[in-house]
Amino acid sequence: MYISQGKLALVNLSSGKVTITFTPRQLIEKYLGGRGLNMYYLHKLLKPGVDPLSPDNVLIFGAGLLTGTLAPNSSRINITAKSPESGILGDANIGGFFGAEMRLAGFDRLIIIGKAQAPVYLYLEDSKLEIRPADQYWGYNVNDTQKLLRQNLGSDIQVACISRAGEKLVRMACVMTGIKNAAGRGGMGAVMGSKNLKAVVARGNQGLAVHDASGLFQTRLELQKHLQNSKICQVLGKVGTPLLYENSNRLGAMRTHNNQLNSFSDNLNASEVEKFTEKMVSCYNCVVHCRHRNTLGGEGPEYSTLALLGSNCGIADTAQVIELNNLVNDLGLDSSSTGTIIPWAIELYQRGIINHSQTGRPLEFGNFELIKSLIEDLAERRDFGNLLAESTQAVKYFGEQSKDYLIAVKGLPQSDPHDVRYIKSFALGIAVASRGADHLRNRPTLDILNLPKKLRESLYGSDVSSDPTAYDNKEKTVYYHENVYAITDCMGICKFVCHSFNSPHLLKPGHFSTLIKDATGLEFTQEDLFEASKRVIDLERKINLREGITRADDTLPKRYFEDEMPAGITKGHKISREEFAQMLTGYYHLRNWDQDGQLAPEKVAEIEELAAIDLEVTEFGTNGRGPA
Amino acid sequence: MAKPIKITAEKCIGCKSCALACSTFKTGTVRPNASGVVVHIDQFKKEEKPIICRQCKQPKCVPACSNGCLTLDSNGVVLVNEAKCTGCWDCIEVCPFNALHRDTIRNVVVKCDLCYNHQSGPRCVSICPVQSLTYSKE
Repeated sequence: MYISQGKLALVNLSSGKVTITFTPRQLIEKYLGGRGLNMYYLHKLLKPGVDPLSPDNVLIFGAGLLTGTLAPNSSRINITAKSPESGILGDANIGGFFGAEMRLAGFDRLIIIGKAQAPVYLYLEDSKLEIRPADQYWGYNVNDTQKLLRQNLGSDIQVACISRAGEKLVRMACVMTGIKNAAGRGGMGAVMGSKNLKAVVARGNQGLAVHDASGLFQTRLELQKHLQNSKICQVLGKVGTPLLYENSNRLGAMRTHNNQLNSFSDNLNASEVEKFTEKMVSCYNCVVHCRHRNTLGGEGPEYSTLALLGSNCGIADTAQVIELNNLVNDLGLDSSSTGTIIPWAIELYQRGIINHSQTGRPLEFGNFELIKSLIEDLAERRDFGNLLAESTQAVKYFGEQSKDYLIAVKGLPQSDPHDVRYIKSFALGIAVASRGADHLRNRPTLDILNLPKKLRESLYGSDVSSDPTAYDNKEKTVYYHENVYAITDCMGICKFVCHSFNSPHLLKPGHFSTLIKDATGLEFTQEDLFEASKRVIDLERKINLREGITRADDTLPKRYFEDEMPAGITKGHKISREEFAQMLTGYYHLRNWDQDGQLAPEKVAEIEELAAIDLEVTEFGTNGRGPA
Repeated sequence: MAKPIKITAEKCIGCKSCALACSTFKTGTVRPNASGVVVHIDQFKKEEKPIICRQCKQPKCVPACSNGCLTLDSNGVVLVNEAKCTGCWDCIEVCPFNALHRDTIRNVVVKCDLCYNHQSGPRCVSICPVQSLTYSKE
């Protein structure tokens, strides 16, 4: 059996029908796995225009080509559906232990449609899938749900579940596994809630076959040595992502008070967070171990949570921010959306755009008890929290003027706490990211590292300025990083050990070629992987175009165009609309999209041709036993 | 005489790499539940605990096996002859350290044999990213 021969389960929760099938080899060659194949099935099965919270939405759990293998940091899967938060494609990547366990239980991918009549969970073991009642788990938050399931089923299971917020269709509800790991973006938890699906439980007794065990082990050891010699991996293993806070804050690019300010307290520096760290722990098969077990009873915080619940909400007390981090994790809320929507509401209140009759109380930055209470209300859809739970769609309650202060693109609040008015490539990145404002789709981090000209040319094709404030040719950086991150998301490998996210020196597509060969026997050249990544991004564009996205949606929050950054090195910077439009046009050109962001007809034809392949196949490859 | 693999549990980050490497070679699949080293991880109990055979000088598992599946070799390593294992699990019952494990797919016992036939030594030690597992022949 080959590693990519794991099963594809089609689950109709309305009828209770489960069909077990496979993904044809031809599609693996085109879309690899993980995010890529998820997009293939989303495009094929989702009817345009459906309500994301209706039974017609298509929810997909998909393992990367290397998820669960001996490849370093191979913990990750993607959870994909139409997003109830943005109304376009929703896609969230998650680490921890669940994704690998799903694969070890025999499944590469789950496609879930319909809606169960009463709460259910899916149980996966030995290539079998059962739909089981979940009434006894309904009504619990993340930690209690998992504890109860483990109590009843044994501690050797892994769980991906939703919280009460997911049950209540809060639009920024996550799918969670463990204490902190979140498929955070786009409200995938609300999609599960809308299907009455409380959890997916996997017990991975079956295991995962490996093509060349000795080769894979040797490759792993070599890559591990390389990664552990890397300074960035060493620092991440010591203090985790909060290391980024100090740099962004010193630069004056820290989203603060809903981006009205751009720097905040040093209390949130990694050195302060470290004082609350009990131990650094890891995801499945990780060589970095960047996750904090904190002394306040939870895990984290990551940089994004630290700053968006800290500086953006005006909370400067380290312990209080960690407490909020632990709270949003247990409540199963996307900290990026929560840490954007609450500050947005506070500014709207202060400007008089919303008032006491809506909020029920005064809103202010820096008030820990208030922020905590708003988060709890949001998760329960209680009082004013019921409007906050609508995320960006609360515009319809707050009025058109409220849009001017909303830090979101395509209906998705910005993911990371970096104010992008200074680094122009970052600005283009969040404007074109396929799931809305998000740095993990394409952030050209290397743009701030002042790379040597020769290296820049080798990565981006021709001279791109090392000045982060320059616009010229910066679309090339977004284009390159977007392609690389798409490959990474198709592999199921954590970006922290991959080339171009934090360093140019980590795992490159060439390394993936070797790992894929060792693990599966399938052969992909580096060029094959890049071609697949472009195919995935085209497909994502097609899905979004089908939902009505146009060039006008590839834009930025109004504040980024119109308000100058107020202080520090970045003072006076904003995004020029004209220069931005030129970058956007250049980006479309690189993607071979037309000036309106439409795909070339031959690309559309290729996508349609592949979409016509039968969904239910009885064999993988040509003979049912593996690649010919 | 062979010494066991030394575990420094407080260093363990719970990545399971040791169990993945071991099971890949022991069972032909990545299957951390059926490995010579099993890592008990419970985030809710704050537990990361690798368990490996201690290569007892007077192992209880060997006489417990009525099929001659387990033998103590001349270096003091308890070895498994899978062909003789009937899946009675008596050895697992008597081990005071819970260091023998079921491979329920192949219906045989799995335990640490220090990768005795692998020149570079135990693979779990090579792959452990934080030196929670260490091994010295001397």
